[in-house]
Amino acid sequence: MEFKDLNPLLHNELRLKVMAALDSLDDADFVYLKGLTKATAGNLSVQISKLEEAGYIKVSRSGEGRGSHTVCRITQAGSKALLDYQRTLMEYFSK
Amino acid sequence: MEENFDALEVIARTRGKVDMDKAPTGENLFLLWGTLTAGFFLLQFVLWELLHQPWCLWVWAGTVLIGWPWMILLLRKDHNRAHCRTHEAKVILDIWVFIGAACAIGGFVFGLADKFEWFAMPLISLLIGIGAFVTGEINRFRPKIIGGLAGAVIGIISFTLQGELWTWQMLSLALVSVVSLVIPGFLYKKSVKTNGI
Repeated sequence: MEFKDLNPLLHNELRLKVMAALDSLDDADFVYLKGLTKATAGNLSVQISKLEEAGYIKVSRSGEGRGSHTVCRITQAGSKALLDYQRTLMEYFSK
Repeated sequence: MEENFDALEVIARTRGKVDMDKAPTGENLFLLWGTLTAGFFLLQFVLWELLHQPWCLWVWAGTVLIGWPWMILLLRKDHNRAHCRTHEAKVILDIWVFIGAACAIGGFVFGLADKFEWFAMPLISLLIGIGAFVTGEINRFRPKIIGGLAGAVIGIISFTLQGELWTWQMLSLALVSVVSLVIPGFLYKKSVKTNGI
């Protein structure tokens, strides 16, 4: 029996938390995601950049330094990737 | 690197946390628009009855001039406080932006065409009622649903206020604002304060 490979970008706990949160919201800022995931700012920033590079989330940044504000929003491609990821997982369990 | 965690549980738990965090936003908007609309249309009715001057029919524009900047301030405050925005909040905001723009444009078009006494106010009443009803359904808040339905019914009835009775459309619209916006808005704010919902 053949199984589809899990999306490696989503198969990471922190990135998956970010994607699941953004999929349930219209948008969320960095402060909210940091509190929700309990990740360090540096780690969260790196993972957000990876998701942004993959086109799964859109990030808008305003201001600079301490006053900067980063808002993240899931894209259509991101929503679809998350759905596919969940479907693949469900297949693992059902077969 | 192989990750070892229960992905489905992570997704479910994160979504659950997000649901718990969903702070209600915009609880002041119903009160803001309801009070302004009721106040300005009541003032318009009184001034028209006393003075019968054409400019009296433009008093309602104060609702737009004060309401829009105030609303933007409230929304900014809400967004900074909440740190996230839900789909429901966005849908509700879009509905009210549409209704607000339709009411303002309709008011100006009917006013400039000197046909304000036609159907402008019953239409605005109907839109407010429908907006409150839909918002109530999304928020699952019964007073908004009931207020919206009552407002829509009053709006439909006010279409019959024609001829000499047309000035009563202003009072009818003020009544719709109180029934559909002020009372549900007050109850919603109270509910958010006491229950967080």
